[in-house]
Amino acid sequence: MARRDPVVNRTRRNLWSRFFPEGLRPPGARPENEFLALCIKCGRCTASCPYQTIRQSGWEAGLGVGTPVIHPREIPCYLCMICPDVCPTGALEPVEKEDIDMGEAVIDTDTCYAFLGILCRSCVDACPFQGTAIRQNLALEPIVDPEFCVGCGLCVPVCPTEPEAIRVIRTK
Amino acid sequence: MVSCFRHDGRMRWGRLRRLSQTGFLLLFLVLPFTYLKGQITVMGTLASLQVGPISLVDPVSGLASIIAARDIGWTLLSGMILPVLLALALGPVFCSWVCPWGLLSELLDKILRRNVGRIPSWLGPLRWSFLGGVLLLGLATGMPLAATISAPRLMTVLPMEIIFLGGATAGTLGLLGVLLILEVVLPRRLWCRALCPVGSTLVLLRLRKTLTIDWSEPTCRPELQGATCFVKCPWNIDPRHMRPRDGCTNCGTCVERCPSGPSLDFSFGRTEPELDPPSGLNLPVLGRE
Repeated sequence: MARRDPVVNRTRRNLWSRFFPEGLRPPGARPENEFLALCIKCGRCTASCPYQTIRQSGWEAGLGVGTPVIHPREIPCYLCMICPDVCPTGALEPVEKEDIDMGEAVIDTDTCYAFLGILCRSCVDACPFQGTAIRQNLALEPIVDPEFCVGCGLCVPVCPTEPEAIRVIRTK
Repeated sequence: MVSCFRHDGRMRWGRLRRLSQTGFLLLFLVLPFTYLKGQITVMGTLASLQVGPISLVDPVSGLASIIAARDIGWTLLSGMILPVLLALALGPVFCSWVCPWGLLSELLDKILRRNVGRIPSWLGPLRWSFLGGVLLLGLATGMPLAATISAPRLMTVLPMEIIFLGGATAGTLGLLGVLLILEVVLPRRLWCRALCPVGSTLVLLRLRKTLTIDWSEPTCRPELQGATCFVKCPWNIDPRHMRPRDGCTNCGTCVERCPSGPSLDFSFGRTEPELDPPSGLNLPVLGRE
C-alpha cells in the first residue's frame, strides 16, 4: 500500500497539463479536465484564502500554469469554505465540507511511528473528520478511510516523521 | 497644482488618463495588503474582480473558458455582462485607461523613443487571426489560453503573488518576460495593438454608436503644426480617417493635442461616413495609403 498510487492512474488528465499528484486543487474543484478548462487563473481563490494555503502553480503544471494549487506539506486546507464561493467561472463549486474530494491521505506504513510500534496519533488528532476519515485500529495504527477522507491535508504537517509518513494524493 | 483642464478650458485627457492608469495600478498594489488583513470585499485581478456583490470577468477570459469547457456557466456569463456593456458604450477604454500593461507599454514608448508609424495593412488580419488562433488552440487543448497570456491578468497577479504569497511564481514571471521581449522586439506596441486577446475582443465589441473620436473637417487646420493628432496617437491611428476596427481606444490624446481648436472630440458615433476618402482639402493622409 505504501508507495503505490492506484488512484492517480484512474484520473482523467489533460494532455497538455502535467499532472503532479502532490498538488491538490482547492475544495469544490470540478474534475481536473473541467477544472483546467474553466479556470481563468484570476487568483480570486488565492486572494480569498485567509491561510494563504492556495498557491499559483508554476511551469510544473504545463499549460495549466497559474492555476491554483494546494501543497498540504506547506500549508494544509482548513476547510473554511470561502474559496468555492468566490470563483467566477464555476471551476470551484460550493460544496458541503463532507463532500469535498481534494484527494486522499495515504500512510506510509514503513515509516509511520504507529506502524513501527511507537505510540503516535498526531494525524488522528489533527483530522477534522476524526473517527471516520482517520481512525485507529486495535493495534492503534491510523487507518484512512478513502470514503470519508476529503484530502484537506491537516494531518500532513503534524506528522513527526521526516519526511512525513502521511501525504495526500489527488484523486480526480 | 496640477490641473486637468487646459487654460482654454479643454480637458487634459492625457493627465486624466495617467491618473486613471496609475490609480488602477496602485489599487492592485494595495489590494494584496488588504487580503493580508482578511479584507476581501474588493478582491481579484483584471481577469476577474469582485467589488462587493458585483463580480466582473474579463470578456475574453470568460469566452476562452466557455470555449475550452464547451459549457456555459451562468456565474461566468453574469460576470461578463458589465465589462461587455462598458465596451459597447465607451469602446476599448480598458486598454488606455485601466490596463497596467498599457501604462508600461506607453512608458516604453518614451524610453525607447518609439514613435509614429503607419498602420500596416496586415494589422487587422493579424489581430483577428491571432485572436481566433488562441481561442481555437484553447478549444484544442481544453484550456483558456487567452486568459493565460492576458497581460492585464499577469500584471495584477504579480503583485498579489509577491505581497500576499511572499514570492512571484516562475509562471507569471516567465510569461511577463516573454511579453516584455515581444514588446521590445516587435514593432511599436504590437502586443497591445494586434496580439492581446483582451484588447482584440474589446475592439471587436465596437458598435456604430459606441463612443469614438469625431473629426470635424471644416475646422481642421493641419497647416498649423502638421497632423499633431496622428503624430501623438499612442496607437498610430489617424483619427481623421479611421475605421471602427482600427483599434482606437478613446484615450483622448488627439482631442487634447489638436492644435486647431476642438476639431476632434469625443462623440457617440462619427458624423462623417467612416470610410470616406480624404476630400478636396489636400490633407496629408499619413495613416493609410
